[in-house]
Amino acid sequence: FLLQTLNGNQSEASENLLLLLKTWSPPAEESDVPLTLQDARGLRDILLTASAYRQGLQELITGSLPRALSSLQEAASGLCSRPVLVQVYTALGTCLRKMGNPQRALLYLAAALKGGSTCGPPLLEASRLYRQLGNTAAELESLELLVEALNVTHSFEAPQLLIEVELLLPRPHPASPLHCGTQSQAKYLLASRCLQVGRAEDAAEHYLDLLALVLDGSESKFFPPPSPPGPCMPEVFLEAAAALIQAGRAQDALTVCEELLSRTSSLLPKMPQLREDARKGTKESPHCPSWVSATYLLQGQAWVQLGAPKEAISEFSRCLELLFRTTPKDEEQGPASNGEKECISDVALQQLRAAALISRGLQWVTIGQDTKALQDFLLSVQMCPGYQDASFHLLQTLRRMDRRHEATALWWRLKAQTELPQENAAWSLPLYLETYLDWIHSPDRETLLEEFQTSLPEPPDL
Amino acid sequence: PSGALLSAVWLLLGLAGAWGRQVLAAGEGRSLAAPRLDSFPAQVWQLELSAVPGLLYVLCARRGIYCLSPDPKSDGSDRDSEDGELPCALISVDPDACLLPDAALCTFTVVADKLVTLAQGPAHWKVQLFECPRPGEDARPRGQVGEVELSISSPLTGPLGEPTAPRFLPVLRCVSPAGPSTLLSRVQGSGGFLLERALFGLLFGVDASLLESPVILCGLPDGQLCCVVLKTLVTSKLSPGDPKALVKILHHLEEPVVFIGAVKTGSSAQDVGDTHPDCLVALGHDGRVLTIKAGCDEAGTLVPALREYRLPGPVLCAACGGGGRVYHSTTSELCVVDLAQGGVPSGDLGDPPSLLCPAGLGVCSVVTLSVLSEVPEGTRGLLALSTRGRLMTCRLQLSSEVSGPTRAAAASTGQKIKDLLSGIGTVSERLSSLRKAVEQRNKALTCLNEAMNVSCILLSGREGPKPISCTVTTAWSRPQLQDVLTATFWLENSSGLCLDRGWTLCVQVLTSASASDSDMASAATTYTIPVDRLGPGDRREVTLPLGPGEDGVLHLPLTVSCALHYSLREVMGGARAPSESSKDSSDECCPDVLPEQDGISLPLCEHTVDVLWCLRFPGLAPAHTQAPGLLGPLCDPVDTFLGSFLGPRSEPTGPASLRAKFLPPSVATIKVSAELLRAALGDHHSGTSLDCAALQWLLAENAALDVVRARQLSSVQGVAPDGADVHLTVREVAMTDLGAAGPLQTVEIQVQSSSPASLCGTHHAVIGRLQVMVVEQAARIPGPPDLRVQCLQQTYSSHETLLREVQTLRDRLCTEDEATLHATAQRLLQVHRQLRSPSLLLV
Repeated sequence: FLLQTLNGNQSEASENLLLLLKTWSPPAEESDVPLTLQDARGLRDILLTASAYRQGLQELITGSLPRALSSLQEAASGLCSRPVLVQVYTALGTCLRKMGNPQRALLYLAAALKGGSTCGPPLLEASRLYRQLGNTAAELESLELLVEALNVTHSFEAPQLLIEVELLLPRPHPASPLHCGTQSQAKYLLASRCLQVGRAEDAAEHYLDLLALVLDGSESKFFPPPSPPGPCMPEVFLEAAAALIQAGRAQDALTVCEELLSRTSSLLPKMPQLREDARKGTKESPHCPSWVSATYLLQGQAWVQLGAPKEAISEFSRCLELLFRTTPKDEEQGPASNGEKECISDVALQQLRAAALISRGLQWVTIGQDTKALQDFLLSVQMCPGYQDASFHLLQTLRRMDRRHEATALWWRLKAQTELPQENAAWSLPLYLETYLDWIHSPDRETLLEEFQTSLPEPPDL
Repeated sequence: PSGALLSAVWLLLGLAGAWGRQVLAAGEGRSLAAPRLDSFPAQVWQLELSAVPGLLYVLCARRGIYCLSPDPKSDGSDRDSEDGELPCALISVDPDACLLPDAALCTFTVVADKLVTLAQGPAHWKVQLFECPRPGEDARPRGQVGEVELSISSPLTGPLGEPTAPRFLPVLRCVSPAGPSTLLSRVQGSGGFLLERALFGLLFGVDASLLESPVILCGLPDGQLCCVVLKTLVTSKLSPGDPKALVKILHHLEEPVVFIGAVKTGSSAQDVGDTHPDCLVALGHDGRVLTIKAGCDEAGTLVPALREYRLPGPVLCAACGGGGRVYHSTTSELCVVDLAQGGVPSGDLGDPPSLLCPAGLGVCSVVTLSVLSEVPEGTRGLLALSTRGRLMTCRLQLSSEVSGPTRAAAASTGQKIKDLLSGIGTVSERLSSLRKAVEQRNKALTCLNEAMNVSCILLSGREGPKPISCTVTTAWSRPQLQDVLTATFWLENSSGLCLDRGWTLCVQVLTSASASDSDMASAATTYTIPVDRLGPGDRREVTLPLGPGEDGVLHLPLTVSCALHYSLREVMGGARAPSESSKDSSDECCPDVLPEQDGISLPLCEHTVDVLWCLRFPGLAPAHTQAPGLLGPLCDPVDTFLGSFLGPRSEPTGPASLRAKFLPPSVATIKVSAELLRAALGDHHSGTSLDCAALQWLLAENAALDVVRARQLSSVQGVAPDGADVHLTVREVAMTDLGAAGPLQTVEIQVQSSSPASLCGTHHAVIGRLQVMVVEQAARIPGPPDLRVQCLQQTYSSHETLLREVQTLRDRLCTEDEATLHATAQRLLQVHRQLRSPSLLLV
């Protein structure tokens, strides 16, 4: 019954068990009985701790925090070994963080870190806590420590002789707060956080380390990729390239992109074949994953940074060529037939197209071809009407080309849009795309709008 | 020397699988040599060699994985002796060499320095990843680094919850993407293979090909073909991986997967110089072949192209040779089929699989195959091990695959003769195995046909007696000190068919639990008696004891049901033997898939043995055949006690009168309307009075029936199984007060016994008979005669009060103490007596 309850998920039964265990007072051993390894009292304490911990964990996952807190505190006050205590303290930290008591959570986490060798989970929890507190430096530091901590390989453990709390605990599920993943997963977390908070140099270094770890062909060690539940591998490459560009290492970014394309070349439709199809005007076109287009986009941006607009424009064109082949119909069929999950959502695909058009437009502007630039900006506005950066770039170009009427109409529209509350809906864009959109963000929107207003001769209604 | 040894061991890596408990290592240069023989504690299922550290891994059935370090010294010394008889040193394996003691392990593979194992769980397969020990280290696994569970379509546990032993072992292979960075030796050394990058990426995803990670392919006995990307499997020790994210099911073969390999079909020969296999092949036990290639759809997108074919099965083992050849062995033939040839039909997956026509090589009963890597140009070499332990090398000319194994042209005549003799040996071996198989099959078909015929005549549902019948009689006997009720079954075959071997008579005796311990479930005993040839018109007699059981009490009534059972195992076992002989001979753990109960069961009859069957009538028996059972009641201690109570002066009296004096007998009567009884008895009572006929009807199954009939008795005095006397009296009475239209003619059956238990048993039995009779007659009788309802109501209300009193008395019995218990019990008995009069009336 006991094991069944411990393994089952019925919280009611486990509560009953907890009560039963609490009320059970085993008879005191007499002094002259033969020496027993584990007496009933000790066993009861162990069972109490294990079931309290399990119940607390369950409640923590289901979200009933105050009850989880009391269960976990009971477990912490019980009899258990050091590694278990570390787990209990970490769970307490998670619970308190979720309840909005970061300082108390920190105390528990500090206690957990002092506890012993397995400091992965508390470190991860600490990084979550610091992130919630907004202390970026501390967050990144704990992530770095986590990467270090996970470097230690596990040794084979001798089987336990007595019934211990560990035996009665489940192995942490990936969804559990105590799951800290592997070293490369931690490394990915660190790198992506660096990129998100704008530490481009660190991010680039961490991404390069991660790629080296994961792609290392040496036979001694395998390092699993960050996924699941992270992004798919190509996206990690793209994020690395984006981080390198952000850090001003365009050449390295190009290398990363080329590595990605060469490693997957056997899977991609052959480029010459694509061109031929385009010439023949065949309607059916091979499906191409969106991350391939994104690779070309990043390559283009790298060329932009290197000051080579011609190469950049050709990369952007290639990217657009692929992107416009990816019709929604293909998206339905292609990935399903491959069994390959598509890494990108529809919204993200629209954004990707707009970004590629704007980038090419900007390059046309650089080499002085305003007409072509205008065309690209117009297209991107049509593609993504809600995306204001495109409109701003269009406005600027129109103004430069002295097409006042269109510019004025666009200005009115923009003004109306900016006055509306910004609907920055929670589009979850891939990290590399978010980073990319920052680069083509028109820097001085407000000043542009004001300048334009002053330059307007008369209100059109007069 | 170590390199030579490695190649030598490699030759036999695939071969020693069925070799039993010993592992041989043979040199490649010689046809058969055994420089090393290791004795393992159990049957060897699998051998793998890890090339880089040079360790030999051996999977023993239900023991786990052993890890051996080949000893170079012993190899070097044996190499010098070129005699046919090599000294075979038998080395027993140290238990310390057991790397992973796990009884559930079914297969494993070595990838670089990782050990991937597949273990059977109660409801899933578990893939586990371990780090291999380094050479020179203690043979201890260096820790588990990953784990994932494979779900399966059908549970692995048997009906009893015990995990059933696998009949087919799963297959585990490692696939690596072909590429410049992949080390060929690493892949080949451990039984893995390379796959062209495009197909690899298509099957296993972008992540796997980006990471250039090896992929573990699992072919399960339920037909699933699934894959796990090895690098994603490495998780922290504490948590098992998420099966949904890690495991991908490629296909379901719908029969046990016995082989996974890859061939080069060369159809996509655009890339010159790419010599890596581009087609994944999986073989099912019954001959289903799955090939997966990279293809293009209309739009030019790469898609995996799955095709299914059929080969003549059952497939024992297989190997992939160079080019597109797949060698596979059935029980009767070693065949080769070339998947690269244009002649292979191309059907889509939805179509029924097209049959491939393999070319036979004239070798049979090969259980393990290996394709030799180093052979002269233009030929192919095969190393094969037959069921009988013959190790053969076959050389095939590449040009003439179909013409069979052309042995290498030998220079000397002696060699030629040797070859010829060996060829004859092979052919005769094959012939005998084929002939045996055909014989067995014919025999099985004949048996099945007979069984079908018997089932047909028994189940045809015709009226009247069945052509195969079973009759039951009971008798008392005294084999030892105790009286035993025995039942004699007469199985009579009046049909024109013959019940041959394989038929059994199943008799089930179901004891109804006695009232005192009603919580006990009724116990059933099943006797199985083989019917060894029962020809037309034959009778067979079977006598079985019915009781009393170990507790000395005969629990009546007993339900006895007879059925004929035909075991399909008898037939199937015979037919299956030749095809599975290779497995069965070496595999003692191979379980029978057919459980005990599988077969044809035909019910014959069912009887309820009650007290009336078992009454003994010592008064009726002729003097010289005095029933032995009478000794029992005479020595009853109660009677002795009562006798002594009377004192020595009184004249000696029989036990019956003693009891009558001290224990007034209980009486129960049942009245049945004469009309009803007459209708039920039908012709039987013609010539006798109704009361005699009724008594004969009640004692129809009793051994004393003949005497009762001969003497025209209407009243008998018998002895119940527990020794108490039972008096049965049947007489015709007229009931005046009940009938509305004059007196009602009834037959009164009176049961009288000094023991309430016997009275109850007999009463119950009589009522049971009457009940059945009433149900049968209810349809025929026009309706009950007119009765005086008022009288019935009166009886009913008085009975209701009495019943209520019984209830209160019984409640009181539970609570009262010893002192008042006796009075209450007495009162209860009295009330029960009152309840019984006026007696039950059946009209």
